[in-house]
Amino acid sequence: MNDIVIKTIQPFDILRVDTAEKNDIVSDVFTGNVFYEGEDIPVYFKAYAYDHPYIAKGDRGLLNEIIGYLICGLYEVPQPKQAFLVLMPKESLTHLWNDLSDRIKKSYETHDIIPMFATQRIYAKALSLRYNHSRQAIESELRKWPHFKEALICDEIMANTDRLPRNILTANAKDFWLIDNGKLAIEDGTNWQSTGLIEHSNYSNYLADLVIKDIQADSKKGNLIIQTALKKFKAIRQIMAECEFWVDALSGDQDREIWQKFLAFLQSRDHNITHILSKRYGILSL
Amino acid sequence: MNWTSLLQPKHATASFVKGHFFVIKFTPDIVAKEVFNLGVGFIEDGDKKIHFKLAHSSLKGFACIYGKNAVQGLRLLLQSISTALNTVGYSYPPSSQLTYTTLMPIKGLSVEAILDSLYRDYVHMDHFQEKKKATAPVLNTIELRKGLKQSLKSINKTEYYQEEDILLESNIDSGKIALDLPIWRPQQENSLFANEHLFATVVSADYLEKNALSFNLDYLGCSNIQKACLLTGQEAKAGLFIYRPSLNERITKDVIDTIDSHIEKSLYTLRHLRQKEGYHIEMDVLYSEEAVHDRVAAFVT
Repeated sequence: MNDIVIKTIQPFDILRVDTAEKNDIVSDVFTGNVFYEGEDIPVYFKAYAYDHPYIAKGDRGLLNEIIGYLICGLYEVPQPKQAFLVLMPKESLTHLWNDLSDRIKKSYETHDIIPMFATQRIYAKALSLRYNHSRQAIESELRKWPHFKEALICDEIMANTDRLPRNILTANAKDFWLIDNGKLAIEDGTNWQSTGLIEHSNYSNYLADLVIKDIQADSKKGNLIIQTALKKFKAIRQIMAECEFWVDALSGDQDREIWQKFLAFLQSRDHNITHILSKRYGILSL
Repeated sequence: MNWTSLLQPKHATASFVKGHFFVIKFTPDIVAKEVFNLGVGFIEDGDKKIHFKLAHSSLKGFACIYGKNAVQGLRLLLQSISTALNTVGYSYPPSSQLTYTTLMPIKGLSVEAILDSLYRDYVHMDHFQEKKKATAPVLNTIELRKGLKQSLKSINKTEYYQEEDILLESNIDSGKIALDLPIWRPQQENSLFANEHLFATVVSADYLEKNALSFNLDYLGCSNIQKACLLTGQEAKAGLFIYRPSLNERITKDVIDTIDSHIEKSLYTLRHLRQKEGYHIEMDVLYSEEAVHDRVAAFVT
């Protein structure tokens, strides 16, 4: 594939790993820099459960991240400028060994390289803020964001139930970036199950909920969102080849068929997006 | 297929310099405990020499928080850090308010590239070095008049340009009234070449603030011409020439509308004098500095 969006970073192109930011049952996050096309690029690395040579059976985070990034790219929603699949060598993390989760340590017991998802840090000595709560102020600005409708639609298609303020980065009152698509199509728990994929369901959608009162008061606003979705109707086809490529590369034999079901689930949601949005807002479908 | 097929053989083009880095952290106030990164250091594998890059010596970011006096003290500290890194090395910072972080592995294309990358990521006190966006230049009344003086010189009318206020006798009492009239034809009284009064002013409307706009248009412009007309009579030749800026990234459509509306209101009194009371007043709104100069040149000749 020549026009692949998610580029691969080779083990020898990891320039440094500076900090272990987070480790929990879902993922480990590190900061550092990679060398790509002659540039030193600051990134966040995100590691999910791994069982060589594939991601751990049933763990969806890494492929969710890749697919979510591609869908947001399709709708041109601001997000980190570049995303990578990083082939992280063990030696680049040894100085942070004490900060690593047991899961990561275990992954490295038998193998020297594990794949991680990485996104370019929003950069330029810029302030970058993530909110945990105190939402009111930030939510009123979010509604005015020019990319709000597209972001809402992306989350609806991929069934991102985790788009809370902490997964929206801001530097000021008008620029926002979506980050973290690791949790999709599941309300409780971490990893979706093929039996729980409901194509027409209105999964929790934080952004969609932000405008629900506005739309109830004025259905034209809801129609504007639907019209925006129609502009990219069935555009998901453009990224399916890359999605299948990464499913092939990262999922084991037992999971591959289930991932195909997930891709079909996404295509169905994309094709029926006007119906799903109409149902959410209780308005007539266009 | 699995991801291992994505692994490539190491390419020969990028041979990296390897070593360890640290960050120089400074706590100016041991009570407040704010921490600033003053610089970064790098030690190449197999070498003892410390390469480092310290915060820009102007320290403007620091001055914004701690004041200009504190900057002098910090400059001394930077010199001490520099000396210490070149002599005692990484192990012992020259002040108890300084710490060096634990050595961390790093690689890059060159020592300089490594230091630049670390400095970019860790030292944030040099925002002032960001290039400011070029903005459209302001042409205020002072600048407009400076150019006018040169323009009159080029047509041998320098004597018409007045730096000082013109003093006219009051027609109410024995006092004198000072008027700001940059264009004033010197009088040759009691001579065969006595002539009528000729005076004018130029003002700029290139202001965003309404107060500034009002001062320039109403006071410097209209008020001076109005008083001069009343004191010199209907035979005098008066002129008011206003520079109005065009749309640019500073002057938006809304600003232009405000300026145009203000000009209209300001000119009312002079139009009244001209149309209802017979005063000879020329008024023009011009859209470039050159147009203003040309208009004044036509007025005085």
